[in-house]
Amino acid sequence: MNSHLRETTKWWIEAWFVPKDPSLLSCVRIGAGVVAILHFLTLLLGGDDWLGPNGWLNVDAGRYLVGNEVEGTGSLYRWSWLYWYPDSTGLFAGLGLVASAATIAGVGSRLSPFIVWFCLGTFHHRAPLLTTMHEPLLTALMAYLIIDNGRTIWTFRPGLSSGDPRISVNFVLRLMRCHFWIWIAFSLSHMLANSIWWNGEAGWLLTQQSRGLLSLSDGWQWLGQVLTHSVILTQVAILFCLSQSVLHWLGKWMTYLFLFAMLLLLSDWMYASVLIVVSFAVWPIQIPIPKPPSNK
Amino acid sequence: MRHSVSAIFDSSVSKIIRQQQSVPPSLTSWRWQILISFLLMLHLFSVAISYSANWRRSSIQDAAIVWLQPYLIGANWYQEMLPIEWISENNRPGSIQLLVEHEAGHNHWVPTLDSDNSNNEKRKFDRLLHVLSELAIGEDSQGLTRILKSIVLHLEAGGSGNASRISKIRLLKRSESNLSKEADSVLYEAALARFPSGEFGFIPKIDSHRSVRAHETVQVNQ
Repeated sequence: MNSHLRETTKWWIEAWFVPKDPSLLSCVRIGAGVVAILHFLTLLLGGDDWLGPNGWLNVDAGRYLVGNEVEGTGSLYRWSWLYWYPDSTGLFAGLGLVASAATIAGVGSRLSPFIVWFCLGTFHHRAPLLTTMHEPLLTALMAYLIIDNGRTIWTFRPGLSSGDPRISVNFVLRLMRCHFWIWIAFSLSHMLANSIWWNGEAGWLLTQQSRGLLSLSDGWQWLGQVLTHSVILTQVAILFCLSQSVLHWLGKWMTYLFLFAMLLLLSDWMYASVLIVVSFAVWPIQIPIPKPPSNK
Repeated sequence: MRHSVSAIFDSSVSKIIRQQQSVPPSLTSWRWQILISFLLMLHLFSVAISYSANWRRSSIQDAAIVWLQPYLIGANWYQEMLPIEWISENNRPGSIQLLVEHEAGHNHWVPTLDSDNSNNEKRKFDRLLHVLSELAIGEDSQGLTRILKSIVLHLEAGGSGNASRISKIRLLKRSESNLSKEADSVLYEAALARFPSGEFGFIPKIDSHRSVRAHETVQVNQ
């Protein structure tokens, strides 16, 4: 019993409390910052049309949809400033945009991802109904980057080791992996709760509605069914590969296959982008770190 | 027991880390590791509860969500009604349409929001239309009229390029075949009643598909 406990504890400490080089985390941070810039650009252009004083969802409608003052809805904790300043969507989108650029550069240390996270939350809490698929993952990435965000872009070069491995870098990367696992498991279980993901109808319906890159005519129903089953099977494979380190190379390709099927059916480029960024952390890319030159 | 845990956590792994990587001793002390591990598991458990309780949930999940709300919602981990399943049996896109009739329109219905129309924010409009249809089917007249009022105010302010006043509004669920207009069902239809104060309310039309009682005129405060 004691040996099992000792082994488990050793494994736990090695998994979470061992220092790592921040190069990989810097890649994730730069990718997340780019996605955040695109996200805030769309909010800068269209945020007021949705959430402004005369938007599609004004403050009154927004408060109703979050269950304002209804017990158990948690509306008390919806802290968006846009409830009180509905005409400041441009301000928060602009602030998020600048903070995203700072996050890419790695300047401002932990403050930049914190501001990005704050601006993402400001829009999310104002209208959770309008949340799209990439936002929860992007918000999670930014929250984890507040703990540690790698090193600045000025010192980041592929092939250059900073020489300052940190426990917090490993901790953040592990958190991202666990979050991704929960996300895929949740996505898979929700799909399997619907019969259309079992009988192959889901892919066919999505192609019929021209939501993605693929639009199928009658007679190609079999392809819709193949895509439906591919989406399910790739998620099962991703979850399995995550648990087997020897299969990580396969998990990476399964993730790309999942992305490809998603683009054919849904064409959600932002979701695809954020999944690629998360995949840097989940299936680590190899950043060559040369040995220091030997002194002759 | 305390000594055995201490011994395990303060094992050779931590010592090696501390000695070779110059890590501050505070981060590798067993007390810190236990505390961080506990918070970490609590966090991952909360996220898993939040995601798994999306749309459908048990009473236990609901109680856990409510208890964890300050952290989940306050720290932005809680995502309600997330369309993670892409498409479901009850949420097939492209079947809801919102039409308005302008005061100068002479009984001409203008399609204003349509799930079938492609635009940059199609998914947001999809979700808005499906929430409207859920409210209409669920006979939530208060919620329905609040959102419809917001939409009318947006349209009358010129939000879709035409700033003329609206006299009627209709929410339509179209037949899946799209072949016959007779097969479409009206989820909600109402005429706008203007008040001298400048506010307006909705007078629902009486028909077999009405979702709001005929005598009910809902006035929403601005």
